[in-house]
Amino acid sequence: MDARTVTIPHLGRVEGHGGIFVKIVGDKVHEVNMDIYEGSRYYEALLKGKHFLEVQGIITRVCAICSANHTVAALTALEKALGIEPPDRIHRLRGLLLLGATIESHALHVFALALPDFLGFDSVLGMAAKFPAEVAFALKLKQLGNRIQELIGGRAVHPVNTLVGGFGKLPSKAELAKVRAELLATLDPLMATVSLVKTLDVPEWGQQPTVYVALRPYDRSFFRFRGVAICTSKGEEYPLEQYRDVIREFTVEHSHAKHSALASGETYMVGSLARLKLWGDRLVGRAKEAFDTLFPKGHVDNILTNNWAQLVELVHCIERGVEVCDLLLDMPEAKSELVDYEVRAGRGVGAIEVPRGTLFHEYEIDDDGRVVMANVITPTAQNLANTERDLRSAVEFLIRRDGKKADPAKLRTSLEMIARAYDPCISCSVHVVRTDE
Amino acid sequence: MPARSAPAVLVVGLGNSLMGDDGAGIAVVARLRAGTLPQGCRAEPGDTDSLRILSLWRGEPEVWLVDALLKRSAPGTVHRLLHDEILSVPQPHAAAHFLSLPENLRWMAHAEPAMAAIRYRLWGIEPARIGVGEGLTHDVARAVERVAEEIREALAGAR
Repeated sequence: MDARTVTIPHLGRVEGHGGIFVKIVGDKVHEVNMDIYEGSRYYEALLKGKHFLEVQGIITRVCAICSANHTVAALTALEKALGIEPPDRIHRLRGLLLLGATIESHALHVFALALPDFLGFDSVLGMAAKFPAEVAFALKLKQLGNRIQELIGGRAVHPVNTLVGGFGKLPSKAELAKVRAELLATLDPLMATVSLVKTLDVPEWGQQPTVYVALRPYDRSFFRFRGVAICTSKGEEYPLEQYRDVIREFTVEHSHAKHSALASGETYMVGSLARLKLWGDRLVGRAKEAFDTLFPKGHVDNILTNNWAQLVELVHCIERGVEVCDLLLDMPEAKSELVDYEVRAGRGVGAIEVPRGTLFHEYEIDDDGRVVMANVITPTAQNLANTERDLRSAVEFLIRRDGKKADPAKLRTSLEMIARAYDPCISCSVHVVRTDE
Repeated sequence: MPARSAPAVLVVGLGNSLMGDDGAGIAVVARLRAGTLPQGCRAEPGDTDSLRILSLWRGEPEVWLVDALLKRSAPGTVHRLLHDEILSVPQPHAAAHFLSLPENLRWMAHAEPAMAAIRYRLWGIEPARIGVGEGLTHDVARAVERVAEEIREALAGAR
């Protein structure tokens, strides 16, 4: 029987180093691997024995694009371990920092990485001749995300102003007002992109029923990126502290990153599409308008629409960013805000929704504040098994539709689009050593 | 836009100082910042994201870049590229959030048309070791000193 392989040695336009290998025998798909060969990072092992005050400065360097997200997740977990309740201003500022990180990440992914595929260009610069305004806007939006992170975190990448218990320096009202105005100015061009995207067809080979997982937002009525419980699209809900029982990690030979499945053995998806599936009905304002425009029949089980979900979330981030600026502007101006606390032994879990999905950090510290155990589960590691499942489904669909005539080049492009739709951050996903075993 | 008669220059060091010799550009900028630069000239770390030049730029007509550059020559070799050579460097996408340097320079010029007038120069230092860990190898550290001195003299000459 004829056997053939489709190999993508280096997956382009994703963060980090990975590839795809598919083996087809006759008209059956025998093997689908998303090979992750980015070197392992061992960050969790590095943290063991370190003082808790060193944690965020180390763990933030797991990745440049996700540095603010890892910072907030780590601080949340450590503060739980120490029994610290951050006051409202700290909560709001961290929220604004996360919104800035999501704006930066989604702007790049939607405009520079995904849209060229859908519009038939090989890169964002190739798009510039036909879509000059969108290409220019994309960079300005990304820069706005960077500026927000710089204002709150002290610098655009690897924040230094974010501390256990608060912030070393707070932004002035003038700085917040400037960011607010810049956020507002992006809404109309962003909605113009929604109108453009509405005209694009989404290929059906991305369709596949999926289990989705996302955090229940802390706010009972609205769409938020920080949450209080782990929820699945099957109607299950678990406390954050039970995340290790909900998410079963396992290793596979072809990947330096662990894979994940639910206790039932089902693979699942985290990220923008999962958040919209579970909580999209809580969107308001122009984000709701964007959701209704891009998902006129409601949520769709097609991973390629994760790119559209990211666009909806971009609109949400802009509107929510303006709201948070207003809340902060209503507070009395202060130079810094740090909560007093005493060092004690404890254990804490921090879970937040970040651009690629749910990010878990857990730390246990001893009486002297030294890290005894550290554990990080990234969204990309959670999505890898589901990515392979969707890759297999796409290949099977295309073989069924096109038979042996299936064009290898088109097959490769289709596979790359599936993998890119997840917006994998491979750099974050490879850190396979845990210190509690 | 700086208001002065002599052309202002922005020097940007690119690279990751936690990845051995990849931090050569950052080290050159650190040396320049340790001394006094001519009025209107600045030296800034750009880290690993050349798109940050958009945020760092304040209208300078010249932007000089310093980075590690692999050309399979002896470690510490200094490669000097002029504007057109930089923009024609064949470089594919490195990763999702780090497009290549020529792509990013073009993207910034598209987003901010005033940046299209910038004239770029690049000092590229051939690395010996790019891997996890701080510190430069001996040859690269010597090259960093030479490049910092050369840029300092060039800045003085440009005034």
